[in-house]
Amino acid sequence: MTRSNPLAELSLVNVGKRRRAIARRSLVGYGFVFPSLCFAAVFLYGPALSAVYHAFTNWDGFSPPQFIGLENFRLLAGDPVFLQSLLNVVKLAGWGVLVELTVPLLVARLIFGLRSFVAQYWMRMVFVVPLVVPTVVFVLVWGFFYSPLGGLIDALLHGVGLGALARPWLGDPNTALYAIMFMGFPWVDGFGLLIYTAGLQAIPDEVREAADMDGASKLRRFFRIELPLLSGQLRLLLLLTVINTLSTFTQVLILTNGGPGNATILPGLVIYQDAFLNQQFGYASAIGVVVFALTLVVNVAITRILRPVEF
Amino acid sequence: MKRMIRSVIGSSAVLSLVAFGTLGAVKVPAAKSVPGAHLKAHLKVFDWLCFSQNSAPGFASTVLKSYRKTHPGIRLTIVPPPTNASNFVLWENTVLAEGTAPQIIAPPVAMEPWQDIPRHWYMNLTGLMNAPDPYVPGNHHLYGLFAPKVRQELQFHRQYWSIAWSGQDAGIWYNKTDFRKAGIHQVPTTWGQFLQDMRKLKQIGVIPMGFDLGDTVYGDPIPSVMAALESLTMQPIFNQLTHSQTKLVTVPELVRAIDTGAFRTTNPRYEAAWKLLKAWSAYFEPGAAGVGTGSATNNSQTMFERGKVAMFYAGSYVIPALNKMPDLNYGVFPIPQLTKKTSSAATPGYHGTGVWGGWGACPFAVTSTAKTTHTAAAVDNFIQYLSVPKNQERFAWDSGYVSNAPGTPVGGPPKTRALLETVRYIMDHPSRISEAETALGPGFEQSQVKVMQSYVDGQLSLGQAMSQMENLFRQAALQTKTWVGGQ
Repeated sequence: MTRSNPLAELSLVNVGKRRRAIARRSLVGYGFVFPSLCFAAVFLYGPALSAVYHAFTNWDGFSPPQFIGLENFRLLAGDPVFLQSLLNVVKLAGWGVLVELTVPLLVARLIFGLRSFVAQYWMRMVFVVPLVVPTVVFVLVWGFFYSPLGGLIDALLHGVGLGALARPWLGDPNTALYAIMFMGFPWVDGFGLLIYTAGLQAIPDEVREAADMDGASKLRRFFRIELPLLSGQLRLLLLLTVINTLSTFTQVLILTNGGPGNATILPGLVIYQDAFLNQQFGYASAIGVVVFALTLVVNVAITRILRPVEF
Repeated sequence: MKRMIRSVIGSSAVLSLVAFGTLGAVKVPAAKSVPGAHLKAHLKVFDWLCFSQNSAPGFASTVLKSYRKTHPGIRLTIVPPPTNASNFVLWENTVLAEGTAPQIIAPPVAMEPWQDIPRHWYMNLTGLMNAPDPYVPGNHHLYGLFAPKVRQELQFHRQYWSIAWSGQDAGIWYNKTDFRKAGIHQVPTTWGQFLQDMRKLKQIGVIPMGFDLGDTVYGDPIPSVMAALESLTMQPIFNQLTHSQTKLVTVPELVRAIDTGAFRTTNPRYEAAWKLLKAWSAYFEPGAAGVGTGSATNNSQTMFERGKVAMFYAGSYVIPALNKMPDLNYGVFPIPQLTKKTSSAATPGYHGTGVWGGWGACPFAVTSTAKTTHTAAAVDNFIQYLSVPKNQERFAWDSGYVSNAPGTPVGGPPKTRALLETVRYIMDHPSRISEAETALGPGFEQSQVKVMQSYVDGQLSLGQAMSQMENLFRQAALQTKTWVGGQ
């Protein structure tokens, strides 16, 4: 005959109660999250999954789609416009990563080094305020700078006696993509600046003081202490820059429409044109799937290679 | 670009609507005898600003107001255009697909509805065109109110899917002052003279030609310009391709010719047209191949208005805007003819270079919404009202267009009239391939412009450009085949 242990029974009862309480609390939590999940499923994942499905069809956006297997991907592999767009986006991403990781960091560090907090504040403001300028306005202003007839850049070149260098920057296939890259000079991205500033502020003063006591120069302290400790921010901005560049198309849509010819064509623009102008939604979806796969691979690689350094 | 210009002008037109509401209203019979006066409906019309192109008291302020007055049961709403002209086709397709399109809609080109026939988005207007117009005493068929040439151009497989009360066409607009300065006293009539005149203009430091080679908007002049040049060089080929009364190559004929190889881009005559473009491009403004030139500040019309270029190629929709420039002394001439002296592809006779003809100004189609909302009778009535020749004239004058009513004068003030006479001449002499190539669709036109850009700026050799064009024609023919046989 066995006797039950009252303590154990009590403990079991408590555990049960605790579990039920946790479940209740979780249920409430899930209840709050549920609407967001629904919206995400319908408006984020739904279209994405739909694109994957339509990539295997000849859907024109209006008629019922017909399954055509891998035909879209086969066409894509030999599509010179798409291949050109990939080459362009690689160049653009390379440049984007270079300037996004360096210039805002440099400026953020210089501002962080200012003795006056008021000066720091105002300097940050100077670079962050342009964030509120709509992209379209920004792009149109640069379009004016590049204009071959009375544009600022050509006018400047003429003004300093370098008129021979003046050219239709966006109308020349040899310069159009580089002109797009040059946009935004001096490339102090306000968002990047804020991220780096936050990162710099998060580094404990003790770490810097220790480095100072060890006699590290400012340059050495930056490269050996601060930069490694900013690796999380660097990784974040790297990821965002790559994602943004791979999906970007606003600038080229407004300024060049991918031209002259296909000199500035980008995958995002190919998708837009094929889907919405040529009514080849199936083919455009296939491009979207390929771009998504590329973005995923690059991002996984970045997250694997660059691991943030902890304090 | 014409759409952009329309949108700029449109806002002032609305004011003029209010200000001049009753001036020059078309006289209509007393309310009792007005056809369809009893009808009740809410008609939505997407006019792409065709009813309000000009700020002068015109069509919208007279005819529309008059119609509203005599049809109190019909509520007429003019639907404003989408903000971005390049999204126009998409917007239309979307509202058509979801069944919420206005009952009357202005497609980018008259043949746009053809490809959507299998989708049942548009109503067949043949019955309406064959019926009498009750507003015109003695009229037996509505189609009799349109010039025969226009009627033929509007038909697809002998059916009407769209209607156009006015037409316009693209020509070369020139600054008379610049021409005089360069010692040019007559507009060029041959390609050789044209090149020579551009050389003269260049010598006096004027940019001869503004050319929006970045413009890819469906139905705009630049995407259609190759059809004009092909018309100069390919007459013998067209003679083989078509058996149509109008001598214009039809869409089915073009598709068949692409299929059978009768239309090949490797044909020296087709190549010759591209060589003309290359020779012409030497006189374009710097960076013409960049879309930036199609922007608000650098498009060729703006450059022309500011005196930065001596000529530009555009449709007659530019007249109202150009007339607003008090110091601008300008005229228009058709793309000049090719002679043996300039090219071995030249053939005898006058070859039309019009790219729009009677269908290129403000085509209108009736959507299936008319059926689903049971407003077809009101739609028919409104169309019959607009088709009254007097109304067609009013529609045309203020917009730089030419009425499609047979035998009507071009109208408007003397200055405009002289210009419109030339425009009508261009309209009456369309390129024989333009309609068929336009019907290949927006995708074809946009891709063709890309090839034109690359060829003009040297990214592609002639051979490479021709190879790409061959692919484009074949792809477009494949797509076109899906609807070209259906009715």
